[in-house]
Amino acid sequence: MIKQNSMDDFLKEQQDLSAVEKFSIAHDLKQLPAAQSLYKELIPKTTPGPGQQYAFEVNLDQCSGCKACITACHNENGLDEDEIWRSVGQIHGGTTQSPVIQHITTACHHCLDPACLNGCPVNAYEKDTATGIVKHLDDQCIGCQYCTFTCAYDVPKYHKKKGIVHKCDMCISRLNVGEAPACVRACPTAAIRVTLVDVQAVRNDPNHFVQIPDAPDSRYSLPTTRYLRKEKFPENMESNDSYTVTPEHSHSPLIVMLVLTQFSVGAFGAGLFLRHVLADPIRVKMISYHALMALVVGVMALGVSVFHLGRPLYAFRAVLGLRKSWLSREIVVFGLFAFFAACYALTIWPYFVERWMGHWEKNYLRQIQDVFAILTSATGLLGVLCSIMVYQVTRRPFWDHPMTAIKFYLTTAITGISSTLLVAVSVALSTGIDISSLMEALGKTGCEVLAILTAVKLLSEASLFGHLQERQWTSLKKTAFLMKETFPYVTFWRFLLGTLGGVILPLYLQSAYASLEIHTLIWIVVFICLLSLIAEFLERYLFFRAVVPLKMPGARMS
Amino acid sequence: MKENLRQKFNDIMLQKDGRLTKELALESSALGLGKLPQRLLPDRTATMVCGYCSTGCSLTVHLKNNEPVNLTPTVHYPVNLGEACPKGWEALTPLKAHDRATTPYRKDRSGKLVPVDWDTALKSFVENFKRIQDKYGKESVAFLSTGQICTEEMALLGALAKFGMGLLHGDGNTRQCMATAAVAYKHSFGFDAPPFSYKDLEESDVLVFVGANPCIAHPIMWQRVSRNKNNPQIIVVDPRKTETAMAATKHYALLPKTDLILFYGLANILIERGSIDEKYIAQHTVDFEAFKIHVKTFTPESVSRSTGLSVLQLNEFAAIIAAGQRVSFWWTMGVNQGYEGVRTAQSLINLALMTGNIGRPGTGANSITGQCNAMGSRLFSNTTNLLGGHDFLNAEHRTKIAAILNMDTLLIPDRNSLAYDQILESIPVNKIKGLWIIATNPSHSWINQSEFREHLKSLEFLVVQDMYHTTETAQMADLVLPAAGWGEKGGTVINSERRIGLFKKVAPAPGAALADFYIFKAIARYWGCEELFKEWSSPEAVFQILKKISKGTPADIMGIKDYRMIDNHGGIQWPLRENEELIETERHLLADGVFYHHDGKARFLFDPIRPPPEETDEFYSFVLLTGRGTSSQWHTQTRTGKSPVLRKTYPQNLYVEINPFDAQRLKIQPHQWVFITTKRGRIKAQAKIMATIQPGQIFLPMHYEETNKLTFPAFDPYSRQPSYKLSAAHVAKNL
Repeated sequence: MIKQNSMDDFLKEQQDLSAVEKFSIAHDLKQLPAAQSLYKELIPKTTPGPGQQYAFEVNLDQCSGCKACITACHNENGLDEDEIWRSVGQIHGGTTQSPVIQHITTACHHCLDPACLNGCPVNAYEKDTATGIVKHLDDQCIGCQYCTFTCAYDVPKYHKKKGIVHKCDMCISRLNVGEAPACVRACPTAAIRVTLVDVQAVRNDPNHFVQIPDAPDSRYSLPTTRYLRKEKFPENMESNDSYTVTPEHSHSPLIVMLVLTQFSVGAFGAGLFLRHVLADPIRVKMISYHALMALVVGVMALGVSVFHLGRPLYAFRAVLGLRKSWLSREIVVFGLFAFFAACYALTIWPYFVERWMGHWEKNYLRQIQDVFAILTSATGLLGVLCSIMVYQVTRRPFWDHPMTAIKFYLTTAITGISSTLLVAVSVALSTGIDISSLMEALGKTGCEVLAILTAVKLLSEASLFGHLQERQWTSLKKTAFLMKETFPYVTFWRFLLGTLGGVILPLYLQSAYASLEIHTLIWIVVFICLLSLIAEFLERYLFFRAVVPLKMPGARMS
Repeated sequence: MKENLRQKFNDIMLQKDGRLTKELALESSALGLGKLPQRLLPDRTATMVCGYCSTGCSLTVHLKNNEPVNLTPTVHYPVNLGEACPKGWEALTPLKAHDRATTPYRKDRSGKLVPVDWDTALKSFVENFKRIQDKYGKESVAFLSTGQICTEEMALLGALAKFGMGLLHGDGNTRQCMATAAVAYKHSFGFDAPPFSYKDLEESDVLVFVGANPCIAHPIMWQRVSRNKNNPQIIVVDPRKTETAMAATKHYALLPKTDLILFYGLANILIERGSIDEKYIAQHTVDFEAFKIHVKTFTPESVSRSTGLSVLQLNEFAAIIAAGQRVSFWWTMGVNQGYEGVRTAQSLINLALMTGNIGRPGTGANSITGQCNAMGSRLFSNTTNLLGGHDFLNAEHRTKIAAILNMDTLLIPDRNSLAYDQILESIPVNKIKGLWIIATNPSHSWINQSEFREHLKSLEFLVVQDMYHTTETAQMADLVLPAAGWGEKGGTVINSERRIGLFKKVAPAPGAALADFYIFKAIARYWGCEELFKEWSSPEAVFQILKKISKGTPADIMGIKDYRMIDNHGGIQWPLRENEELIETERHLLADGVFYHHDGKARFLFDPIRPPPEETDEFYSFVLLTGRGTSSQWHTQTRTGKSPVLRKTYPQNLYVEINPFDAQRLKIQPHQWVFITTKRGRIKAQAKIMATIQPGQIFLPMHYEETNKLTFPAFDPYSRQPSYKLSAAHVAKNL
């Protein structure tokens, strides 16, 4: 008969680990790495000389596509559960008689002109002078993730938990003591090695490096990895993910930041205009409320942008990269913009003017106000230019396109005009000014300009769908495809609300304001402003989600 | 002071070191492992054989405070020489999966699996199976074993089931991968003895791979090929241009399942041109004359018509074999999973025999195995063969085994078990009503899946023993027994080249999960036959029993003293007879040309060609091939699917490879979802348009659950192995 607790002996034995002791080895403490025999031919015998640096070299004829390099890199570097620094893509092509498949193992190419380093606003990248290895300084990183945009090879990877980026450092600390990087050590067929390359050779003939069908243009950042293959690839090679279209992250704080900074800049621009066309006494009221609104929105935009950072406490470091990083410039310029905007708002606000500047000469005060007004608009417009450059330098075709400039500046204009309309009408209402005459004087033109600019913006955005007709799955076709197929509702509403709020309602208002009741008129203005703004947010949402990043072929699995 | 402040300011502005940097900092391990992540620095290591495939790589598990924290492939191990495939590198990850079965589960009235304790579970096991046995007869309960557990566990399972519980029918998932090779060797050589060592891969000057893609399926064996210094000719026979075909010097893309015709044709050409080793044939083989007559009709022209290869290619192929000094033939699933698999494997054996390419370094007709312990299963699972490669039908064998085990001879069945497919067929006719499935996931992997699942549904009691309660099969069970996995138990496994290697326990199992060994022992206790197995006290004690069983057989391992000796030698290949000195770590068999039949001679075995069991027609116009997708996917993905890193290395959706011509004809766009239909079912897959697959053929990877809804249930008549490589399918963009 079965006794009580009759499983106890088995359960106890299962938990007993004493056999580990018996069969494990406590090693000789001075033991050299046993794996040295595997890789001693695969790393250089000397450190890089003058004009040289370390570089990966991949013998494609040897690579069998086993992907051990990915897991070895993961384990030997103690990466987090789902973190990988190396990836293996597949490309294929040729003819049925002579088909070709090729696996491409890829990690950081330790570029001569690293786009990650150039884009970093806080100098968290170093190009090691002795070895040429592009090192990421984890503790310096603020987690802005901009390097993940600028790198054409999809190398830096954002680590959400830590709020910073990680990347391959060619196992520099191993190389420094004569050990091989994990991937080199782990390749069963010795397809990956570290070599010394002459820097000048890379500069002279960039396309000789990372010479793989479908790979990004090597002239961009001068990568140093060489891929060797006895036979040339056939013309028609395509990558495993040539046809995969996957949306990118939305980066929502950036959406808010971009649209609202542009809103604020546009509003200040319109304010500058109001300053000169309006007459007192309405002028003071109008421009002061208007400036306050623009300032609040602008500060909010900058505040929200901090939420995009993995480590917002260190955001102040962003001044360091001013010399080369457009992101750093964007941050600094918008910082100045906010400062001037605050100064301007302060110097025109009636309360403060009376209290502190009452005894100043009127003209002098006005000059100061003018200076601040102009500085605000100038830094604002410069800030928007920086924003444009931030995205253009990534070379992602959807971003590196005249459209980005058109979009950003037209958003500035559209949100600026529509918000000014709203402020004007509300101030008029609260002060009892005749709205009809205000409309006649300003509103009519405002509506017309708004309608034209919105129409131009919508049409230029819609022109992207022309790429759907292309036979090749180009990057822009994929973007158009993503909008149409993956985000049909967002795209639909973007165009519907844009047309309604930016074209139809302004045109209606422009023609019918005289016969409208005051409340209807106000509601229409509110809708113009609101719908245009929502439409711009949706446009910017698609801007981030439908972009197709540059990367090594086949390296992203669907 | 000022300097200090300045330094502080600089540090805040530009911080080159700190907590985050240190988290990834590497430090010298001083354990002969080189630099390792600081926080994962081990204090000890334990080497053990990997638990995935039959290559049998050794992994050095890093232990910190008695816990496994990381691993690296073992450098000084004769199999893998310091390397591993991604599955091996990630071998510890699946142990920590959140869906480990940590307690037994029993199906409640509503059909939901609910946790129960071991006592309840095992009482339910015994009650239900005994009830079924009383009602339908002892033989109405059967078991399906595996190539994934230790030899000692397999032996205990086989002995417990057949000698203790009185079952007659039991088979293993090795039926799906290795049965063909086992039968082919047994009939040709007189014993199931794959004759090679991996060193042969380095020593050949001609390597012929048939239905094998080692680049992806056995990357570490391919590593050995890549180290071959003889600038070898590498011939790949495969309908697809695989990675291995890319790396080969010659790729012969024959039409699917025309391999047997090809090799009979090659034999004919070699005979015609006199490129055979008449002396070897005369001294070491029989039936060559009959074979010669048989292959005479396989003229180059007719073979060319059938295979789609040109006469030129056939002659070239034959010429390369003829010119080779050390020719080796390697095959795996492309051959084994064929409806004429045994004869195809034997056609390769025949080629090796007639050209004298056997028994010398770099030669042989060599079967690359699938699972980590398929070879252990072939010897000791007590399913098809009586323990140790003995015969249930042979009274002498029964007496011998009973004596070694101190058991009544009458406990040993004198009849053979049904094969896997026959066990399943016996379910709907009420011959089998209870089934016990151990460490395998046939609801995903068995051919013609829908029918398989129907069969399981008509069982009265289904027990599934697995590491995870979430496998497709476990989800259908009435009772789930939670098993410890690789790394959580000790024992031995045998790899493709007959090398016995060690599994070690480096981690406790989660919750109440138990090593299969203890589960079997506990079942013996609850069943009331514990006494029979009192000598089977631990895996190592069982190993000593198995040694005695092996004595005098071709797989004699009496010379292996104990586990310690296996550990010290980096694994030991069978045979190693008593007092035999172990000099070479890599040994091949048959150097003396003496085979295992009574006359010491090998047999030429052959058959007429049979038509494919399912032929394409106007509607089902595509030949559907299945096989491995990537090297980071293992079979039904119960383990590899648990690693987030591995998951990043293969497509998440089922894809179908289709030729550009066919895609154009059917107006299929790249990456588009298409419907694939066979007479068994219909599934959806994303089109991957590739010239590597020939027109008229499509390929589906086997790791996705849907694939086997389509496969046609044909079986090799000798090995009963399912033929996964040939079904007629229809492909369409829309329904």
